[in-house]
Amino acid sequence: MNNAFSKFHPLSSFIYFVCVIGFAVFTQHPIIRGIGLISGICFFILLNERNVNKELAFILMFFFIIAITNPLFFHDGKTVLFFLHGNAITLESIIAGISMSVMMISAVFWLWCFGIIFTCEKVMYLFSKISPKISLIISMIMRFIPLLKDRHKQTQGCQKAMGLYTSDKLTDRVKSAVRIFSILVTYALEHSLETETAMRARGFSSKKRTSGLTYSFKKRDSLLLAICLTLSLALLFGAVSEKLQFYYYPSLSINASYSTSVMYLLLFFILAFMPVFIEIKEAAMWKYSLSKI
Amino acid sequence: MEILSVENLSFSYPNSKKKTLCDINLKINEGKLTLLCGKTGCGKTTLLKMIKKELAPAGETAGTINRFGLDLPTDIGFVMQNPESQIVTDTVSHELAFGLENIGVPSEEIRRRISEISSFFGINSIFNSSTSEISGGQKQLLNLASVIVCSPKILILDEPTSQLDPIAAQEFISTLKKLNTELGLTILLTEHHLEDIFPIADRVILMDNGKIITDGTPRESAMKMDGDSWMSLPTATRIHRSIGSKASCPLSVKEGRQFLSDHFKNTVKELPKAVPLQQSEAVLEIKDVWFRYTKKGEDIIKDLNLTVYKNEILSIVGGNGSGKTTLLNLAAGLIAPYQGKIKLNGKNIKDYKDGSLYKQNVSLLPQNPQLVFLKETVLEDLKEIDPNPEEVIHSLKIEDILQSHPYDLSGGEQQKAALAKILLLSPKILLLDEPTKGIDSASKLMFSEILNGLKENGITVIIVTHDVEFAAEISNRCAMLFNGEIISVSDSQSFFSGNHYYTTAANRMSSHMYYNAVTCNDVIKLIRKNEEYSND
Repeated sequence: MNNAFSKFHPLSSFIYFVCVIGFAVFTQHPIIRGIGLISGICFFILLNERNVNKELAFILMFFFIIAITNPLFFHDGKTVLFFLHGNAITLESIIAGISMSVMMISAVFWLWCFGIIFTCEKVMYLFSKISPKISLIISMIMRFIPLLKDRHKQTQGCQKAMGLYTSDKLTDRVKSAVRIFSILVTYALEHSLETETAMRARGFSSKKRTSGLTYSFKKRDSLLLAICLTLSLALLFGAVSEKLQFYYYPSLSINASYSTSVMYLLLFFILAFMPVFIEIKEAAMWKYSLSKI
Repeated sequence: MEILSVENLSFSYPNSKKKTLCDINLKINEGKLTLLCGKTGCGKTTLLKMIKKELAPAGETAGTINRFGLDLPTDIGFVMQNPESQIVTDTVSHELAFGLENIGVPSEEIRRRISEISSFFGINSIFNSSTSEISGGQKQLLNLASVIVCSPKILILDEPTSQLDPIAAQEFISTLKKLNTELGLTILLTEHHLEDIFPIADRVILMDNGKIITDGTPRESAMKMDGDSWMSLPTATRIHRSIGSKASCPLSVKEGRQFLSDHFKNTVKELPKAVPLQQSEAVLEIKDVWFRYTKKGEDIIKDLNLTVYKNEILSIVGGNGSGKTTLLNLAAGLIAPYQGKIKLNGKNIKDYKDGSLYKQNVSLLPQNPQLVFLKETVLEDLKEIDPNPEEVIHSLKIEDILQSHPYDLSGGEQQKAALAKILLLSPKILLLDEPTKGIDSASKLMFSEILNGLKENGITVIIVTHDVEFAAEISNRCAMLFNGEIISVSDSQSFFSGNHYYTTAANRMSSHMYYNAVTCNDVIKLIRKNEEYSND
């Protein structure tokens, strides 16, 4: 993984994600939602971790379903476009539907980005600050799941090669699954006993644990944190004083003056596009460093 | 200087009249590599666990164990048999840190020490990997590294290489040697197969029935080891013992070569060629088979051709990742080739429907025999296949383990019990995946007797293995799998005598004098022949 944003300290990047996702999800304003979506997509493309063609198809479907169902069920709004089986389909309702689906999809993209940036290790680091034991338990679970999966696959193959309950009949398949499940439980118990022995042998006891995971908090981390918190506080002020309020019904309207709105939108724009700027800046710096050689 | 002393130690498990340990006296000096051997159940594991305070089993104890300056729990490092079950966490780096976290070392120092140890062990390339994606050999090396990172004063290992393939085992043992010679670490270990460890040990202790019966340098102990423990000795030593030579006992292949050149003639240079097995009817034909796991992945099996004849034992040898297990799974019909044909008794295995392939036809014994069992006792498991398993039970001599839980058995017993279950399917072709992994020499010998018996009864056996010594002893033919292709197939004698590096220790030891001695017995036969010849 080679991206600029993941080099930040987990704490500052975690707070950043919480702020952006929070505003993108909990504000009503369609333009804020729109900015959230576009910045999320841009960031995701820059991270460019995996192929998401399949998921994209699903997302588009999701988008249309929500955008379409909203006007079918909500008939508020002044601007009636046409009547469907005697029900009014209004412009406001259509826009509210689209806005809602934009919000949901932007949340999906931001969470994907979060997943890429927040490796297991970083999550564990954050937890280890709260309690090293919790972080150990998470780690042990993460170890155990693939182990059990693997064992399941092997047992299944072996039982199949013995010709036991392998026909395609449903009863056979159920029986086979039950049999394998029961031996997996035995295996899990057996395994955890041995692991417990190994843990004791390596000095695991009630003595106070430390954590080997460290990330140093650098100047750039405090800078990111400072910018992120300043912008968020300003936006929060806007939200609390209802300056960010947006009404879909009965007609699309805002609470604040035009210039105030633009200011808040600009603040959110800076907040949401920060990782994109950082990625682009880092890529440019890399190119520049090459050209100097 | 003494680091550990055991005085008059006796121990018996609760509800057991037999003493597992009986009047043990033992002193371990600093910086020595001590090897503890003895057959399964002789009490060596119990002794090791008694020394490690945290693992000491409950039971009746008499005598004392003095640990000098071993106060922290991490001062005595302990590595167990099964690489899988000792790993606690999900990533290699966290695993290395685990022990240090336990004893409350500050984060910064943990960082420094795990990076240091990772470089020492040469595991930097897997440092960021998750523990589920590394190989068995790497797992055991990781277990060792994560014990060593806590800088123990003495390292105890209980059959650490028994679950590893020979190449990984060699690597593991050379790491132990490095720890011992470069860091002066005191090491106490038990081991089944002594070929590689014996020459580097400072001291060898042999246990039997809870007692120490010999204790001395490897050379001294080698002269006193008999019966089951004799079989696990290095090849050179066994040859020396068998011919009753008075000369100093060789321990390694290098010494063995010297021993042969110094003391024996090679007027007769080769044994009569083995009579090739009559090429009877082909039972399994693999033709131009290609296989890969994922669409865009690499081909694991490439244009592979192999014919297996009725009534033979065929061994397929090859390194890690050469595709051995995949080939066996193909032959068992668990996976299907995307190109080429696999025919069983003239019929494509795709055409065997509804599990008929596995009924009185093909059976596969997986690498891990535990996978075969699903029930509470061995007997229940056997009865699942056949309500009257008496005949097989009798022929494999497993009467006394029938009521045990399969997971409680030793490696050799598990292997036999699993084989019993497989044999109840009355297969005509038996596929074995690494059958000698994790079993001691005595069980190995018994296992090869069983396989020979099966061959007599008209069963064809296909074995994939790393264990060249076992393959040389047992097979009619051997095949070499490399990079997904069969590189060579021939009778085992010419197969191994044709190889220079990938061959048995007996062959490597004698190749400068004899052309086709592949097993210990071959070398002994040739020595005797030469003696007769010079006496005439």
